[in-house]
Amino acid sequence: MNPVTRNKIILYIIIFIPFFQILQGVFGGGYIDPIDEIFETTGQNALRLIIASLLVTPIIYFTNYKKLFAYRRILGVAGFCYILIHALTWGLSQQFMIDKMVADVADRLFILLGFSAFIMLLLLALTSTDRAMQKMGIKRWKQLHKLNYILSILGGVHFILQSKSKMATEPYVYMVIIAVVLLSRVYIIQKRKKS
Amino acid sequence: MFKDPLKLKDNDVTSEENYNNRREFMKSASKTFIGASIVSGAAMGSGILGAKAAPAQTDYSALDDKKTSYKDITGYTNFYEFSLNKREPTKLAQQLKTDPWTIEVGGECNNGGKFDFDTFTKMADKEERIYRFRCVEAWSMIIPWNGLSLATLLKQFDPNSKAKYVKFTTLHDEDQMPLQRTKALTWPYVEGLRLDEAMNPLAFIATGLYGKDLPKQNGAPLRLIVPWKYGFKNIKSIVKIEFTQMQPINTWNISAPDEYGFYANVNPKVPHARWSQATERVIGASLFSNMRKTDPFNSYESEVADLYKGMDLKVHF
Repeated sequence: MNPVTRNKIILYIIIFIPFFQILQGVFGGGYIDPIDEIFETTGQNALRLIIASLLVTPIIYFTNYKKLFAYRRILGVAGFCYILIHALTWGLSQQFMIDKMVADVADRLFILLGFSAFIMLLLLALTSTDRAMQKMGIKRWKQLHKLNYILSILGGVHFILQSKSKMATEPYVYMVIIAVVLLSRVYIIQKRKKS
Repeated sequence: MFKDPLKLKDNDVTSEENYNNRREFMKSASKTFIGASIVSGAAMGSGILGAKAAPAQTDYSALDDKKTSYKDITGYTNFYEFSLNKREPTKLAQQLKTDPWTIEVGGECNNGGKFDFDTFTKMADKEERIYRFRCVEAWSMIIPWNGLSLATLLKQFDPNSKAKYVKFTTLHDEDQMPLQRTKALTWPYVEGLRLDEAMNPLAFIATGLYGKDLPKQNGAPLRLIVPWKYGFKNIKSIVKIEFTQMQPINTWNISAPDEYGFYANVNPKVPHARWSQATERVIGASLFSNMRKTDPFNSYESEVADLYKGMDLKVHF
């Protein structure tokens, strides 16, 4: 088997593990408070996947391991899929009543941030195909997909704001990784300008 | 066939199934003439029952709604002394030593002192109460508690005229409660009630649930239950009860004063900073039909609304 195909299969399996957790939780009785637990599982895994997709470019730059590029889209699209479940669960928690959903976005900063990040990620998912890339032109496509940085920061802040305890460390770990990725991108751009 | 609830001890283990059958029996029995005589007196510690002919259980219960399963009640708890996660106390709280257990009663009263658990729990009649439990995090359960009327207990300590509030304190022992070594909250956990709230017939000290001893993750060996207030008021593993002149400062109020007040009455009209309190997720219900409208005072409005006459509950949230 082609090693890239093999690795993709492994990656798909890893990506699908939380999804099976959710299925088991909801339909197999593993969850006690399903809405809350779906929020947690999907939000956490989406943020991890999106951060992983952000890490691809700097890792390629510093290691020159270009094969990694083949997995970037899978990571991003998988992150979107989890956020889609996350957003649908939020809709369910508002009983899909438009007035309640609007009020929730308007009244709560962390919902506004999460919702904004969702819309941005939706745009990226819709333009994630080769065809969309060709249609847009690589330059504009790259510009649009820089939104990934902004939405991951919004997602991280959304994660911080929703946690009840000041002891929660996980979202801060993600924020630090995002910051490191951003700094590395700045470094790469500076280097390229010089050369 | 059935034991008198008065003589029921927590450790007279009843399976959940038997428990439910027993309730069904009582419910149908109460509709007949003999029913009332079988179960009357079960909750006589509380005044408002006297005039009503219905059995004690139904006066303080939400019998028509499905009770939350024992597994869910004991598998999903907030107990920050052990974990910030709601699953983990089920395992981690088991290290708590609840026997022997001493409750110290003091402050503005004439009959305070130190009581061991058995002495303390013999100071009032054992009762069963099925209460709605509404967490500030917008989830809810229906829990069959057993325990004692708080008012009956407090009266025996003879609070003096200076007593305006009752302050409750959880055990402070870093060796047994590992998160007390951290700054997750200020320790020990403290809660308080106004004396008239504490004397309300609904206020309860739970020592068990589903007819069994109170599981450790649920606040063994004894905890407060004030069902018209959010869950965090229902302080667990109590070691100290004090009558005070000043309003006690409760732990969550210290942690986030704009999010958790002293009163913490269930109020669908006052949202939490980060979520609405208008609805609640019913634990144990299906994902697609688990949303329930939250009732003012968690459905106990007629029993407790008078306590807050003239108060702006948006200010005193």
